[in-house]
Amino acid sequence: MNGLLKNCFYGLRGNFRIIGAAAVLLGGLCLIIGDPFAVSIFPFLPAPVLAAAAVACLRRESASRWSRYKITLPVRRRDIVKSQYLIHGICALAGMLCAGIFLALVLIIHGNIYFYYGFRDVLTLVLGGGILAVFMGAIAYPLYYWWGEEKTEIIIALAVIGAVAAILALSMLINFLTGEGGVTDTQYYISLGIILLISVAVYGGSCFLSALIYEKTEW
Amino acid sequence: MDYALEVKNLSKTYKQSGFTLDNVSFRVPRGTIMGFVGENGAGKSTTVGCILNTLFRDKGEIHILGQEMSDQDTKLRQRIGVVYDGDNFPGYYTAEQVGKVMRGIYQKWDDEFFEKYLRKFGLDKKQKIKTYSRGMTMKLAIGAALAHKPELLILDEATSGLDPVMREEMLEVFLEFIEDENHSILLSSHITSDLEKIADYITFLHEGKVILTVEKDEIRYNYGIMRCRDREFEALEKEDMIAWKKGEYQIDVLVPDREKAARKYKDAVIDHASVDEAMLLMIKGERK
Repeated sequence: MNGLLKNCFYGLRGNFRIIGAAAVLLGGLCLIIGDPFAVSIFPFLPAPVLAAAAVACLRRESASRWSRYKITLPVRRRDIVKSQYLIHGICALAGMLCAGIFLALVLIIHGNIYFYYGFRDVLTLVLGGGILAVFMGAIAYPLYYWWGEEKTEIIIALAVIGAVAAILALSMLINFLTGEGGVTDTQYYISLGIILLISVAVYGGSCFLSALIYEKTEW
Repeated sequence: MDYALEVKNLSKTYKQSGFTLDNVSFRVPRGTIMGFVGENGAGKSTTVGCILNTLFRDKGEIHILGQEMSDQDTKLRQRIGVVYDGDNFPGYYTAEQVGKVMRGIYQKWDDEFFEKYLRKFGLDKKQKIKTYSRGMTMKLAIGAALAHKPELLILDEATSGLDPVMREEMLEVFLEFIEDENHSILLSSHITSDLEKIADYITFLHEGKVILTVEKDEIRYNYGIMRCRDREFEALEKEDMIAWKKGEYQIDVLVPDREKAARKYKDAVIDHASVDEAMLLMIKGERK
C-alpha cells in the first residue's frame, strides 16, 4: 500500500504545485478585495479542485502502460482502488484545510463581518467543499473502472454535476424534514452530522463497488 | 522436470473481433529461456495477459512456479518480473521515483542493485521518464523488473523497437539473469534473431494456436530446408516434412531431420534452417 500511495502522490505532485499557486493567488485576491460573495464562494473550491486533480491523475497514468503494469505488481486490485480512494480523501482534507486557513485569515483581517450564524457558517463553508469532493470521488471512480481511462474528462464533468446535485438533494431533504423557518443550532449540527454520515457511507460503498468492477475488468 | 511456467489448453475469445486463443499449451522449464514467437496479432500478448491476470481466460490452466495465480496471490507475484513493450511507467516519474514506488511494493527490492543498474546503463535517476529515449525506457523497465530478485521474468515484446546495439545489451542482461539455474524467462517477441541468440526453447504461435514448441538447438542442428522442384516434392513422404511453401521456381520444405532427409533423398539440396525461416515456413506455408 505504501508504494501505491507514493504512486498516487507522484501523479498528483505536479498538479498540486499549480493548484497551490492558483489557490494562493485567488485566495489572496479574495482576501484583499473582501467581497462577501467571493469570501463565501472561495472556500468551496480547493477541495473539489484537488479531487478533480486526483481523478485526472488516472488519465495521466494511462498515457503509459502503467495501468496494466500495476495489476502485475504484487498488490491486489482491491488495494489499488483503496489507495486511490485514500489519496482522494486526503485531497478533500487538504482542500478543507486550505479553506479553513482562508477563512481564519478572513476573520483575522476583516473581523467577523461576513458570518451571520458565526461558527456555523464557517463550518458549512469548510465542510461544503469537502463533501462535494467526496461525492465527486464516489461518482467518478466506479465510472472510471467501468468505462475506462479514455472517458476521464466526461467522468470528471459527470462527477461535478452529480456531486452538486447530490448535495442539493440532501439539503432539500433536510430542509423538508426540519420544516420552514430557521433551524436551531442543535437541528443544524444534527443535519450536518447526517449529511457527513451519508457522504462517508456513499464513499465507502463507492469504494467497494469500484473494487468489484475493477476485479472483473480486463486491462 | 521442474517448470517455471505451465500453460495448459488456454483459450480465450474476444467477442468483438472474433479472435480466439485456441487451446494454447506450452511449458517453460526452470532455468531456461522460452522464446514465444509469432507474427503481430498471433495472440502473444493475449497469452501473456492471461498468464498475468490482466486478461481473463475462458478456459485452461496456468501454473506459475507451480501455482495457479489469482489476484489475491501477491506473494507469488513477488517472484515475477514483468516488462511490457513501450512505456511501463508514467512519463512524469523519474527513475528515482520508480525505485521509491517499487520499494514500497516489493519485499525484496534491492536499492543497491537498482542504483548500480542505472549507473551501468547511464540512466539519470533525476530525469523524467518522458524525456528518456525508447531504449532508455526499456532499460529502466528491465532494471525495475530485475531489482526485486524475481525467479521468472515475463517480457512482452520487450526488445522490439530497440536498435541492434541496445537489443544486444538487453540480451546480455537476460543471459546474466539466467546464469542462476533457478531463474527462467518467457520472452515474447516477433524478432526471431533475438530468440536465435538466447532462447533455449521456442514456441511458435500462429492465429491463436501453438503450431510448434521445440528446442532451439533442434532447429539449429537438426532442422533443414530442402529446396525442391515439383517432381522432387511429390516424391517426398509426408512424415519427412513439417511445413512447405511453394515459390515461383522451387518449393521450400522444412524437414525435421536434415541428415536423415539427405540420406533418404540423395540429390536433394538441404540448407540449415534458421528460426526465422522455420517460422516463415510454418506461418506462411502449408503444414501437414
